[in-house]
Amino acid sequence: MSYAHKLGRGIVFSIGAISLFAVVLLLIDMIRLMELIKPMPSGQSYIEPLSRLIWSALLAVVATVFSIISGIWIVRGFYLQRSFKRTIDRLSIAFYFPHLIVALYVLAVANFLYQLIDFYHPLFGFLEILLAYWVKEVPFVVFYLTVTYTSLDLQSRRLIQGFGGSKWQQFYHVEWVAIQGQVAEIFLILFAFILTAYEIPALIGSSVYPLLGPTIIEYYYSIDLSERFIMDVILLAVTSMFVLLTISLFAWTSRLRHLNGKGSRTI
Amino acid sequence: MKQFLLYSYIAMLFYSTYLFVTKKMDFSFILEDPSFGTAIYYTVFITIIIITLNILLGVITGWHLAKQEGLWLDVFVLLPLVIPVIAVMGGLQLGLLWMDIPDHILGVLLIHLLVTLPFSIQIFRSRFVELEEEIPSIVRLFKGSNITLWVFIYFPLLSGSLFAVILLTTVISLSQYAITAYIGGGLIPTITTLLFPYLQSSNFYIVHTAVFLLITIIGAFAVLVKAIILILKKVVTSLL
Amino acid sequence: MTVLGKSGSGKSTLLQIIAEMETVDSGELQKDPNTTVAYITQKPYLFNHMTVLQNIAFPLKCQGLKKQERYQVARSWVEKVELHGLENRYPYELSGGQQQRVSIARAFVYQPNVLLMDEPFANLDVKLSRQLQHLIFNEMKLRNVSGVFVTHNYEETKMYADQTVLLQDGRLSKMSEEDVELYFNEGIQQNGEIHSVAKCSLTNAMRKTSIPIVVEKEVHLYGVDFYVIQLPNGQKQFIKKVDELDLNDPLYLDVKGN
Repeated sequence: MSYAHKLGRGIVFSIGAISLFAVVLLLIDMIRLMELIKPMPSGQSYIEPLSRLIWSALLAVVATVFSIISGIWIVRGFYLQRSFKRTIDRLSIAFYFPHLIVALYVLAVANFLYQLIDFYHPLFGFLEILLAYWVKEVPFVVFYLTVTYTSLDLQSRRLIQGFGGSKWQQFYHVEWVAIQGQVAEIFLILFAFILTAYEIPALIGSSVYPLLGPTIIEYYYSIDLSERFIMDVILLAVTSMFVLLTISLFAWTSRLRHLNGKGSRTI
Repeated sequence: MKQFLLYSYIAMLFYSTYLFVTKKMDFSFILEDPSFGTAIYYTVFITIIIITLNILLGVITGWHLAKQEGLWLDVFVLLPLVIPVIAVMGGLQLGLLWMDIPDHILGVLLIHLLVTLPFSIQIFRSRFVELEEEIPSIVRLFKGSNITLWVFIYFPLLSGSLFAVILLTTVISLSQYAITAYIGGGLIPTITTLLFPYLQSSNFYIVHTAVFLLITIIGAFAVLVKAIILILKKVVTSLL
Repeated sequence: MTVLGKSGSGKSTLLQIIAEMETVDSGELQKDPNTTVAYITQKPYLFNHMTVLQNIAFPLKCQGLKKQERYQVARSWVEKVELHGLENRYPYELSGGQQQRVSIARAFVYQPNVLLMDEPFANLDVKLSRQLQHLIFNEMKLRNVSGVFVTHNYEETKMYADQTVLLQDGRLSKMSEEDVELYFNEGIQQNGEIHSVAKCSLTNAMRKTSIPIVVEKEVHLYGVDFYVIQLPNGQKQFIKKVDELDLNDPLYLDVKGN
């Protein structure tokens, strides 16, 4: 069996290493471009991409937080009402929709609504994108947290209730303690995905302020090497931040694991 | 939910038939595309390879992770999900260029694998965690072989996750426009790279047709896979 | 052979090593390769996707028996464990006791030489526990199966063991009757020594080896009369009733009475 274990381990490290390596290649490209591009792009030319980055980050944070809170609320609702498994199965259908389709459904519904109320504001574009991400990602959050919730001990909540604890304390001490590591994980995954995704903003966001994903593709396809260089810088900065956050997340949860006693972080 | 989906699909089917009959829906924009045949070929090829790899690698890795833990292990499992795909795409394209195999199917396969494998691993791992870890020892106690273990015990118990992984992998792979177009460089057309520009069009009927095609393909595929898995399960159970 | 030992002493691990379900860190397991081992524990470990009959027949499938043969054998075992009518049920549809019966049938179906039991009755009620014990130990006698039995139960140890061993600090040591007595009962302390209850008797006479006691009540255990006595340190004990005793006079426990 150790052969299979070695293989499993190897696969895990390989895919992580390939991802990291690809980013290292970006770094090399950036350094190479530094020698090729003269003069270097001025601070001015960073403003536009940076503002798009900030807008996308804001959108991504809102969408992520919203999805996570909804996901937790849904999982708790089903978990506490015990009609758990069946409803989760039903919800997980949405998991299998391509995000393109979700985006187009949202667009169709939105356009229909605009015609109905005869009113449109450019900000609605952002709301459409938020909605599309929310519909797509909530099932993902639910799926991720389901495993933890099924293994939670309902009795602990009653125990706290018996001590006179409020519903919030019940949630905090029993559920939050178990899921906080995973919530942080999901936050990172969703934030990274929504920040840099291409397809949904490309479909919906065309009438709205351009977001980071389409911007990166646009700059990469451009003939102007300096634009590519700017994108490399931004992508490297963003990626480094995510990698550092991931490492600190796991350092934090492994410390928690020691405090909580043995057991997998995901259980 | 499943009923809701079925009804809304039937509604869409009726609407599409109506459009087709009134000649408002026209498949010609796709069928007349010169790379249509190549796109179908590449899509099928990529999907089959990616599904196979996801199942094989996902099961082994999920099984291993259900038993082992480690700080760096967990970090590396998460990395492909957390590092933006677009960054990996950019670096990978450069790597392929420097290795002198740009716009190659290998690059597309690799990046699709990187996007789908982490999910398969998570799905299989959570399933293995639910299962008793003594299962292999018990089968060994009965002097059963590894084949017996995997065919008669693990396959029926994993069939749900197997279906989830196959469907999810296909859906994710079929959703990838940007990375396929970039790494494939236009030389590797897929159904998605073909359809996506039409999805962005302002012509409602064209968008509708493209969406309809995509949904039908995915839906038919899901039904097919479910049927195959059910049949295999029945065969295995009858041999028990 | 019954294995006694404190929680965490490694009894379950010992059985798992014998069953080759755990690997050994150092040393080796010497086993005749023709030995077939069966293993029953508190958790039945039944396969949820198989019916009762399929679960019982599964070990025979692993050993290559043809379908008709193995179901014939499996059906006879379903009768023996009194699960007739439940053959096509799934494990989650059965009660704990029924699941344990299935696991017992499954253990015996492939004719093991050795049966390892890790507190298999711990989660069951007393009556059911007794029923299953009779079932298992009768079958073992019939088929000449050796057993290693881990238990925390005084009765089970006394009733079924030919030999009793103690696992302590990683070492196995043989236990005498008195050792077993002292393992399950506190023993009486006197002058820094511990004596087993078996060696004590009740008297009205005070001797050097006596401890003053008080009789709390009379009880009936297995058709025999006992007193519940209380010692000066608060300890309570069962002790066999002695007719010649005068309960109105002071009472003593003589530790060298036998």
